[in-house]
Amino acid sequence: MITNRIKELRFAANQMTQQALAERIGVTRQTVNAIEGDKYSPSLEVAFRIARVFEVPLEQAFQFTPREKEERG
Amino acid sequence: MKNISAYESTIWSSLIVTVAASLFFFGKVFGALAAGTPLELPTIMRLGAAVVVILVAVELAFKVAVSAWCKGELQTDERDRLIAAKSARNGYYVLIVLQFVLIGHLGIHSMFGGGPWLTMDAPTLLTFMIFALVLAEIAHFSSRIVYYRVGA
Repeated sequence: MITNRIKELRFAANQMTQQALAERIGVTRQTVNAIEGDKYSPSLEVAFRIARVFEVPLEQAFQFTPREKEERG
Repeated sequence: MKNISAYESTIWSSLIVTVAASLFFFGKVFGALAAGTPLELPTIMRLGAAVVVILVAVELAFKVAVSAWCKGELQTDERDRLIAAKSARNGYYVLIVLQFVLIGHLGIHSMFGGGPWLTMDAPTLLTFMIFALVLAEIAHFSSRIVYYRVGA
């Protein structure tokens, strides 16, 4: 499962709005909202763009937790 | 509907208009079938064409209104494209299953002959084929809304 810390990163970056982030990474505000709510996993390109906006490594913005089944796999 | 985009609202309108138009069309056609009135191809074609023209006009008017209201904010991104692709796949599955049901029905009829429930004239067959198409479209629009609301 992919989770993220975008909301925290936005607030740390002068309380950047979802709209402002959306404009910078080239998606709609609803998509940023869906990513934050873990309803949508973005493409690698958008994930890298998000990390670049906040000037953090990708792993700091997104975390991957394998499901138990996958780990035993 | 807090996080509904202008683009998603056009999908809601497509779903509502399609459901309303199909209720009207199939209500008339299946009503006639249930009453034992034989269906006539020109009548079905005329009614179908009128419904399609009204459907397209209403959809166009809604899209223009949304575009004007939201100042041209009908842009899409990768999430919209992914949802569109997944939903088209779901609609396609529904269409294929219903077409196979129709083909199976015709196959059984040609192999074993038919009682009255197996007999289907050309206008009735056409009606059921259109019905399958419309159900597939409804499945497609519904899928999109579910993916937008629940997650893709």
